[in-house]
Amino acid sequence: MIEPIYITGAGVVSAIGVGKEQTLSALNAGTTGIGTMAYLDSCHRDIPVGEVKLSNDEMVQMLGVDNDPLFTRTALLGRLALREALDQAGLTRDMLADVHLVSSTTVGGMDRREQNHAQEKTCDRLHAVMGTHSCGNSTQMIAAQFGQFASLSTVSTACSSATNAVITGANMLRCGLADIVVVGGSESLSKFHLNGFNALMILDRQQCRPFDRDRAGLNLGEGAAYLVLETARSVKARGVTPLCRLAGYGNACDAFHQTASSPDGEGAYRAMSEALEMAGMKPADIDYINAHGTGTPNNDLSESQAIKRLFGPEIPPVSSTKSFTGHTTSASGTIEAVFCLLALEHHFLPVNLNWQNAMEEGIVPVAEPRQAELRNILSNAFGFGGNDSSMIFTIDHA
Amino acid sequence: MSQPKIYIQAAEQVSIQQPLSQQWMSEPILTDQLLATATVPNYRDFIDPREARRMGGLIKRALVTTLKVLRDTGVEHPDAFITGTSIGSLDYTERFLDALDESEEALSPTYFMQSPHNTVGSALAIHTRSHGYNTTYSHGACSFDWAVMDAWIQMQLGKIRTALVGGYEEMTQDYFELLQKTGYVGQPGMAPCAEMSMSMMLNTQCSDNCLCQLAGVAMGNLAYRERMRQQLAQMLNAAHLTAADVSAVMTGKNGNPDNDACYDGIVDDLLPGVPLLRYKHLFGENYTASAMGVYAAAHCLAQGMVPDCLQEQPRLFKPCAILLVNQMDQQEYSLMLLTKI
Amino acid sequence: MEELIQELKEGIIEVLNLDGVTPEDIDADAPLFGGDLGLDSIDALELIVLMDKKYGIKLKDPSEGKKVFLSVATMAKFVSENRTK
Repeated sequence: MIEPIYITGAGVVSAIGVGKEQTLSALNAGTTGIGTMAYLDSCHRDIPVGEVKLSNDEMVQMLGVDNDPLFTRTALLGRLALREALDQAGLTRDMLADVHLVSSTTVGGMDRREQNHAQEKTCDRLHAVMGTHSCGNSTQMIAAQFGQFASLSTVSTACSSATNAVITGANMLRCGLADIVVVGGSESLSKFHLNGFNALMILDRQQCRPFDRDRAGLNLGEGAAYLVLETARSVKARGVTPLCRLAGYGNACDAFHQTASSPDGEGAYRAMSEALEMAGMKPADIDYINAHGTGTPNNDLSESQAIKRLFGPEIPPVSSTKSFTGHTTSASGTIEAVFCLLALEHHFLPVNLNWQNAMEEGIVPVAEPRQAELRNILSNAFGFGGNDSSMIFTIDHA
Repeated sequence: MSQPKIYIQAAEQVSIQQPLSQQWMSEPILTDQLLATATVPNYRDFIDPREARRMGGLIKRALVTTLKVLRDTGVEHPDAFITGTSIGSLDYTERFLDALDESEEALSPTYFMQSPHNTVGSALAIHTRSHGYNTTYSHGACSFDWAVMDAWIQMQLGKIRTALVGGYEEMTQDYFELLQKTGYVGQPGMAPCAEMSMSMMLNTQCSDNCLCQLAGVAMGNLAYRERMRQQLAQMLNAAHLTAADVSAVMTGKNGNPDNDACYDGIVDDLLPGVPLLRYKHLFGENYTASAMGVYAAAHCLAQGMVPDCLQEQPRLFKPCAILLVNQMDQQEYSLMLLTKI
Repeated sequence: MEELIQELKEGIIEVLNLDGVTPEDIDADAPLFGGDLGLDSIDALELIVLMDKKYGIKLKDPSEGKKVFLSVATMAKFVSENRTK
């Protein structure tokens, strides 16, 4: 018997809003957050992006902190999401001595380094600190506002980072190392990775169309989300009400190519199977799949194959909410996990925007918003290098 | 539930010392350079040049130490590849940044695709076609320590039995100069800033060739010193040892006064008066340098001796247990206890 | 055309970092992809960058590149017809 792990708090920031309330209304209204670049400084104005509609200064104000030239956009986004998660779980500064934080990012402070890079040869100490800002520093900067956590850690597996942070945190709980671990990820847009994805020629010049026959790539997004994971013992002791349960998770490697997924989706298949097995579920128990669904020809075909292999002819409703937010890369795992939590709580299937035509051999996603009683949701996050991970969220009806 | 024992079955390095060798134990290479590059083995002995054509130095060095460990242990597909790297393929990342300063057009995708930190760990899996658990920690100077922690946790949970755990880092002249300005490295009297690769096989089964036992690992925040003491006490207790059984403490002292004073404070808190070892003057300073500490301690325990070059006050003794202490920004720490078999 | 073919071969070896391969090893009419060179989708993207930088030709997507990069000979033909520098 695996000790149950509960989620007792969640916070989210993405192109469709700050906080769960704004997020929920955008998901229900089918309003995308992807649009014209307003905050990122890049010459590629023709590329749509899912930006959080706040400047760094506005975020500093919302956080109620003094501005610091070292603040990165990733850290500010992370703080907004972390604050909401801690608040909901009722975790205050004096309780953090027993709370661990596993965060994740890949971009980290690249948004600041790229601004100064050309002048680094002659820069001062402050800019040298900025230039050497690492993923770990990003986590420290996010945490600093809230107090002293029992430990900090940072996972970085590209687009599956946040999901792998969930897995690390959950394993810490199961092993008895902690009773509460806050997990998640944060990632801002940067000129660096926008141009990198552009060089890989996988950015759609229109709104992305996951699982559509004519899909032409992804849109990049940004955001952050954190979940408070807690053991049953701690939930009981603190008298808090869980939002849902993390029933299972899996991590596998596609071991195929640094940027391409295998045609049969081996890594994805293994990650999903492992999550099901851990949850003690059959494929038929899954009521909805929140797909990785980036909108690239390669991912959506490979993920479709993996889903079909695992679920056979009875595929549950599937959608990619990246049509709302763009691909929020390292943060996508927990941003989409929060969408799943909202779907469980408010009984709806998030729609896959912009879908029109079925792709050959592909799955057909949820194209119209629908009410639905959901019990078990599978959420996928796959990263470069074939770092594929899946998790299952469950509502235990009394 | 009985807790499985965990062994370090093999550990290999590429650094400023002789690569893939323990020659440093008898003939250490000492340098007074502030920035030192790794001495690399012949990559062709391990990787087809065609396959390696896009790999940066970091990935090639990581592959070489990993393939040597896989060969030596006969573990073809470990249950997990867990990687620690704070800055990943820095060289390619900076090449992409340099190109971006020129123009946002006609950029090489190769430099970008290797810039995510997990490219190293996934390259190891792709080369060996290993579909098991694969993750990467990028948590500054504790990146490698979290990789060990993850393997430890999953072995306790029975999820995995073998894990290839590695610490990999590279350095560029430009980045070194930034680090120099921050005061982290690069002042006279400090350990050289260096690049390094260390791969080790953790195995829950003991075999004749195992180097030592990984008896415990713990992570934490230096704001909570009492918890750190409890963690050490629990670790010793689980290994049926007392504080007196710890032969030495291996610290990450590097000649930077702030850094070294922090270690002295921790040691005074945990095991005052115990003989001290250090490794960064030999293998260099870097974010995943703690991997070299584990490597050095494991080989000392396997050989039943500690070379003078590691000791703060050299003497002859047979180590039974070595505690490794690592700290990050004087805020976070890791403890690892290695014991002889 | 012979000169351009030679130049392309040298360019390919350089940008794809084909260690140990000489221009003579590459048959101008043999398939570039799926053959002995072991090239993949990232190499195709690097060739697109090469076309842009050296010959001022912008290819919009990898599928367009597929036809152009069939062999060194097809590349040479395409370059001679479309180059802007």
